[in-house]
Amino acid sequence: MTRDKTIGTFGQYISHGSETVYGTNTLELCFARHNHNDSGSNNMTSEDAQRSVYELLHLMSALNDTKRAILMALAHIYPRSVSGVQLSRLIGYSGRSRSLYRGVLVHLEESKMILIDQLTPKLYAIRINAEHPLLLLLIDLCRQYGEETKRIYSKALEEGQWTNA
Amino acid sequence: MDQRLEQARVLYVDRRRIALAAMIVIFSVMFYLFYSPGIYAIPSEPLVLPPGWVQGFRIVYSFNTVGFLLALSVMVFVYAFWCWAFLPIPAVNYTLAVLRGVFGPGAEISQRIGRRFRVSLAQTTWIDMACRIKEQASGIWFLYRLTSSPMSGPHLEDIAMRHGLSSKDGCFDAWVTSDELHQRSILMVRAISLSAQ
Repeated sequence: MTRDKTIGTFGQYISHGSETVYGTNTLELCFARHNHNDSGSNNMTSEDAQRSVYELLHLMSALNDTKRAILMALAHIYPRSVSGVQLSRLIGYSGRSRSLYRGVLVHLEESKMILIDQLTPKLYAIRINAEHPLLLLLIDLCRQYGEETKRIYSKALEEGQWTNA
Repeated sequence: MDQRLEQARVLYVDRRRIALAAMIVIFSVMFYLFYSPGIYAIPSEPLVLPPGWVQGFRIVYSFNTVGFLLALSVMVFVYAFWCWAFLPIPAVNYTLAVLRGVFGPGAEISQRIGRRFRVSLAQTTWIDMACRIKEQASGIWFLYRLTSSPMSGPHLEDIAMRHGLSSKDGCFDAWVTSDELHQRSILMVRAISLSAQ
């Protein structure tokens, strides 16, 4: 689908244009559905799935290490939600959790990657946005292949609770 | 943090310290200058107060105080403007180097007052980048706000989400830390080119 002749600089990329097709069905399809419904019978779908994987990789590599760690942790423990303190412990954040809230988490929420529910004035429930097309794929991948990692995260969470109490 | 940004941070902190010290000195000099030549009282009705109090009020309620406050506000304004307008040179170098790396050495990058950069991609598309030296709430140094030119297209919301951006009024925008600047501006260009089709 996407076959660009030359991509010198991005400026050229835009002005010359490319033959990328980015239609409705392309956007709505994701790896998860492909896996569950189509069983790889359709060539188009497999390519869309690969495109989604590429986009997910691209997005994850563009984020800085804190954000990446947050998304990986939240995707593994989905559908659980965690508080800010739990999250900062889970990703080994060295700064104060308040600065995590006001900086990184707010920015992630603004780009619709995570959801923050305010339970009480001081307690927030943070979870990954499962309606995000790429993060849905990440959650799916974590579910399929990340059983062991999930166990590590869950264990860390539970032990954190004990030390808290 | 990048070495140049580290330099810029040190430079910024130093300069701010120097500016504050200078402000204290100027403040005392101004105090002397405005009150030493004699008091120019603002004409008013006589007060029914003990004479010592009246003398004190006459000094406070005078043209000297008006001038002093004016000079003070000019000073504060200049300081605030200086803080708002300029990015330390090493940080400018870093930003330009990153942008030239992404968009090529011949890219049209204009730098404007208020620590803003604009990269022109094509005739009608551009990316604005505003740099915040320090975000007070979170303590993050050198945070960039990327904003694209207004886009139109059927799937803006979806494209924005897939590139880690948020879309508001047809513009893509994102808060980006200095280490993400390179990759995420590439993502934004990709989003712009996809939505332009």
